[in-house]
Amino acid sequence: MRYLHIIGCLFCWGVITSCEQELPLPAGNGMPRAVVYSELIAGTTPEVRVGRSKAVGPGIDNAFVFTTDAIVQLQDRNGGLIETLTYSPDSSNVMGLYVGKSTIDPGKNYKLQVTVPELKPVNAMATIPPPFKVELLDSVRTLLNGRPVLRFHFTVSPIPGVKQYIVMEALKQSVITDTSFTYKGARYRKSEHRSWFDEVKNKPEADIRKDSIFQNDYLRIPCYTQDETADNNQIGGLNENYNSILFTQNGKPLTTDFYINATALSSNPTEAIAPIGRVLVYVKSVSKEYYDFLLTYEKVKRNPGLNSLIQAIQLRSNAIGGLGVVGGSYQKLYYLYYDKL
Amino acid sequence: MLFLFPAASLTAQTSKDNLLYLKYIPPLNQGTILFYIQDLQKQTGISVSYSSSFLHLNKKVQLTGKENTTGQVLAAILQGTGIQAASLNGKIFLLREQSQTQYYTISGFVKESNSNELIIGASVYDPVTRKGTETNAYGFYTLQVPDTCTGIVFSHIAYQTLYQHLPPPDDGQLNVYLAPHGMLQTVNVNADRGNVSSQAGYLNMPVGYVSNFPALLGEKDVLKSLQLYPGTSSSLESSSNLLIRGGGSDQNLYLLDGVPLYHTGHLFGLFSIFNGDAVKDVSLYKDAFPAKYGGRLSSVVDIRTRDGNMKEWHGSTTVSPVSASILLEGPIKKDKSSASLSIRRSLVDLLYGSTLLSDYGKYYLYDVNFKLNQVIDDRNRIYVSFYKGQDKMFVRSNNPLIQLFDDYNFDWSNISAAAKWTRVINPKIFSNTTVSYSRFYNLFTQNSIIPLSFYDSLFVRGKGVSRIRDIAAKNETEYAISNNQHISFGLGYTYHNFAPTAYHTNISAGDALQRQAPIYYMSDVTAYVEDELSLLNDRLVVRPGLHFGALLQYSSVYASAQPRLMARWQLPHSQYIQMSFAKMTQFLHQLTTPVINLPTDLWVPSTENIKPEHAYSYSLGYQKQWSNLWRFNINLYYKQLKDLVTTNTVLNIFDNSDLWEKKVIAGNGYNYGSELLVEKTQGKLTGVFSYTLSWAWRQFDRLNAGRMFPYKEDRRHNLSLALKYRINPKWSLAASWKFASGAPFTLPVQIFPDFDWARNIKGYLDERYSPFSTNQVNYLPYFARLNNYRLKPIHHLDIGGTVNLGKEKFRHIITAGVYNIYNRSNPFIVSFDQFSYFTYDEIYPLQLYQYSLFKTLPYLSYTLKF
Repeated sequence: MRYLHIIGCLFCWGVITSCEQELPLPAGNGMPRAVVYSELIAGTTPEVRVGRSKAVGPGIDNAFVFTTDAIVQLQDRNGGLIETLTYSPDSSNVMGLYVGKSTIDPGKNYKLQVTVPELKPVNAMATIPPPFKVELLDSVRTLLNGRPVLRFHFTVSPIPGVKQYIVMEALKQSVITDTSFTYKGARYRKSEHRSWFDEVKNKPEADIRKDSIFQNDYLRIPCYTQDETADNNQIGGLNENYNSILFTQNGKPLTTDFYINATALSSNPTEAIAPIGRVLVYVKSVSKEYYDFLLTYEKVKRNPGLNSLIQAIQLRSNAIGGLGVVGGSYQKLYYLYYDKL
Repeated sequence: MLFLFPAASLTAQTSKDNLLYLKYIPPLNQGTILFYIQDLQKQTGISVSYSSSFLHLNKKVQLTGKENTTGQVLAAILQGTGIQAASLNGKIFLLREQSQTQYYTISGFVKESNSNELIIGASVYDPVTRKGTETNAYGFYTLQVPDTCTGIVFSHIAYQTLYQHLPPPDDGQLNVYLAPHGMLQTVNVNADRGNVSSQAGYLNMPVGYVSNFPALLGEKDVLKSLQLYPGTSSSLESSSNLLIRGGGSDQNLYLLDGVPLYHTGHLFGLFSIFNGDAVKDVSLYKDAFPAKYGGRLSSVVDIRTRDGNMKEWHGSTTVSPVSASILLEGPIKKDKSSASLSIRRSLVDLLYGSTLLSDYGKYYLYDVNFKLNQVIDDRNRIYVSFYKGQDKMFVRSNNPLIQLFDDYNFDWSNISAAAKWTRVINPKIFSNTTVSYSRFYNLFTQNSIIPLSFYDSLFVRGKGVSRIRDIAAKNETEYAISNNQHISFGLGYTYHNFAPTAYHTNISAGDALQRQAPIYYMSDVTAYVEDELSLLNDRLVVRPGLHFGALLQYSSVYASAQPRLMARWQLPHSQYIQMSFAKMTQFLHQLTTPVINLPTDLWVPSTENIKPEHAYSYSLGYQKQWSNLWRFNINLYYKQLKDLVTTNTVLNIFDNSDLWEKKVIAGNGYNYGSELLVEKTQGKLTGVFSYTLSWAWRQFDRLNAGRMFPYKEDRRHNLSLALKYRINPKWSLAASWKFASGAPFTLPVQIFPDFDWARNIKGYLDERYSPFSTNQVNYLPYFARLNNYRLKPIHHLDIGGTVNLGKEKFRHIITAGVYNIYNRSNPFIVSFDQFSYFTYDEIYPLQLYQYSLFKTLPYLSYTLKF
């Protein structure tokens, strides 16, 4: 049950008797800005996605320029350079991906400086939350308002004197299964060298193995909460689904049931509702700025505010000089395998 | 017999042969003054001279039985009148005492001669002294006149002016019957009231006015008629959603026969729920709020319905291609009790339901107004009134226009019922006591089929109800101490029962918590006192007042003392300057996202977390009239709004929880502007020109980075010009042109890659967001400032004509016209990007799409009056 449904009906009714007119967008005087997305995760190496925004004006479309010429620097809190990230070519990406080698430490502050030619540089500071303790007490398949769900019972321990911003979400990562074979010291993929595979497959020196290759492709799994302390209640109702469940933890243990939609857990080839893959369930402690972004992002995804009937929602951002967000995160990741890989 | 000598000019004889010492024994101990004078003359043969202009001859008097001389009897019957008897030259003169002019009070009801319908707002004044008053909402007046006054003028814009000779009847109650003007003669607001009742920031509109000008689909609409005047506007083209001086639609107090209503729109606000046939009189207060009103921040719209004809049965019926209505009114017992019944229903479903609209769904609305009016005696009267309005809508999921996932039913309804007792306690004191019941509910059902897998789906039938019930009692008393001082005071109590977010489904909740829908029980207590003073020989009218309101519930108590002040300085040549201040407090809030008037907008109370809203309103006005023909009015206003409540997300109202409080933020507002009105109120050509220059700002700490931004109802310019030309008593033509600056709209200044899209995260599963969410756009909008862009202005020219046919018994009125004659495409909705289905990977141009609702639309209606 969603309020937008109601507006949808009204709109439908209105359109029945209305007529549509295309109007040019007013000429804007804004310049494109650099867009930076990064979640600096404790214990991992930094990854930063860089792109360009488009100023709204006549002739605009929704195609974005792929950015490969940015200079991305990871700095310590005082601006000291830790490393310059390098561009990582990957045709599956829609924004330029820049990766680093240093490991992100929990409890530290990092600065990210991104310079895209001809655009204003972007500076952002992210605090990496300290380690936190989360306990998965059990998980069970059940029903929530008629929908099959998987329920996780989590307890997140507080850190004395520290306000924690907890985010729970779930993704399904696509996987493809392929066969690799090694012949005379060289390794090949069957999907890329099918004829060669057919030729050598029966030779004794051919070493044939089946691989699961996880793709840079994810499906967001809707999640739910029944917890009235969740900040999702600032966004919608308890019977609704969300990208992520958000909590502000004020020094008290957080014990909650986290639900994810079970429809996508396993894939049925005839249905194609969900890809074959593995399920990733995240429990994260994130920086305040990142949390604010996620909270407003959740609102924007439900209501982009792109028509005159609905008030627009402004995204929170800490990317000074640009757009996007640079967040700090300390995460616990649970892998669930329902599909046969 | 008319001698007017001051008592001092004669010396009363005191000797024994004085005519006042002659033996005279009256035959009765009780009688009128006239009876005793005539009997004294008959028995003694003495001529008694007096002036009927200052002697109330029909006044009943009581003797002790001990009076046995002419002087004793005359002294007894003239006691307290300020008149004394004197003998001179063989005659007895009844003379006014020298001290000062004597005043006495007359009071009564002003009624329509044909029907006994009580007339609200009729002027009652002494034409010599220009002292006067006007009838209240129950047609009652009270006026003190000097004994030299020989007659009183009764006038009303819709009726022929009457000069009533004095003295009044024996009991002092002077009921007056005014004859209406010719059929459907142009009437206009506040004309012909001289300096008695005009106020800046106040409009009083007789119902005849409503049908003066062209209307969308020919539907007479009370609230849209008000929108011709400055300071009033609507959020969308031709919406009855009334906005006053930059306030929201929820900030208007709508009273139907004194009962507050929460939802006043049919068909999403396209038409108001007030059936023009049933309405008698509309008053709009924009500032200088009388102390008896409270509970809303921006305005008071006080609507009174017809009482019913006390003389004979009459009726009318109106048919148009979209609706039909009927009105019946007449006496149950002649001159004692009457009833009025009016019914209106849309015909769209009946006429086009099985053809044009069958694929889309079904819609209808209706209204029923009923009123019973019982005269107990000259001083007491009882009214019973009832209203029910209903909208029902069904929208098919598989309609040919937009594929929805669900079937929807909307069903929203107002009911109000009131019993009212009006009592003339004495000629100076009038009181009314009302008990009322009001209910609004919005029922919403949704039938969904939610795919669970390729082969499996879940049928969900959800039912949401948002309901308000009020039970109220109040008393209002008006006390005319003198012509220069009127006090009014009253008490009220309302028991609120709000159940804003009840929701049930057919599906098993499973792990979901079973919540009881929250219900809020509250007591709303009001009290007020107000004193209207005429000072400096009526040149200055000052009206201080105090309204007290309190909302009491289990978890919180809020009280608010709201001072009111109005001062009007009368200048020569029918000019005046008026200033006012008012504090208004609103305990009940409407949570809404869109700008159209939805029944699903949620009314919630102030709670321990949500404070009441306050408005501090200042106004300064100047008005001049020219011989009741022209009226010029200019107003300046400034309004500060505190603790305004708004939502900062898209509401889901049906989740059986009180978590709506988490979606609400509070902030401030500032509305200011100026208004200009030029009106021609009499003659063959009449009309209104109004212009409003205004600003409305809002400021919320958590919106727009805490900076002020234009309110969604901010319109810089509002202009309307309406003219009516009466060619002859049968034919008339009318035209109106309305203009409003474009509404604010938040347009993104940049778009940038979506956060999930940028990370190769897709997400279309389980109808994630809304029917529109299948539009998986790959970008996010960046809004630098809220409401940074303006939609195109709205304007349209409408013309219409009316022809009146038929004789006395049956009259036929044909109204026809064209709405938006130059086919202007006015913005109804403007969207950045289309309401269409796209996928992440699709590249397409972005632009604005404007959806317009009404192009050129003809209308035609036929009314039979009998």
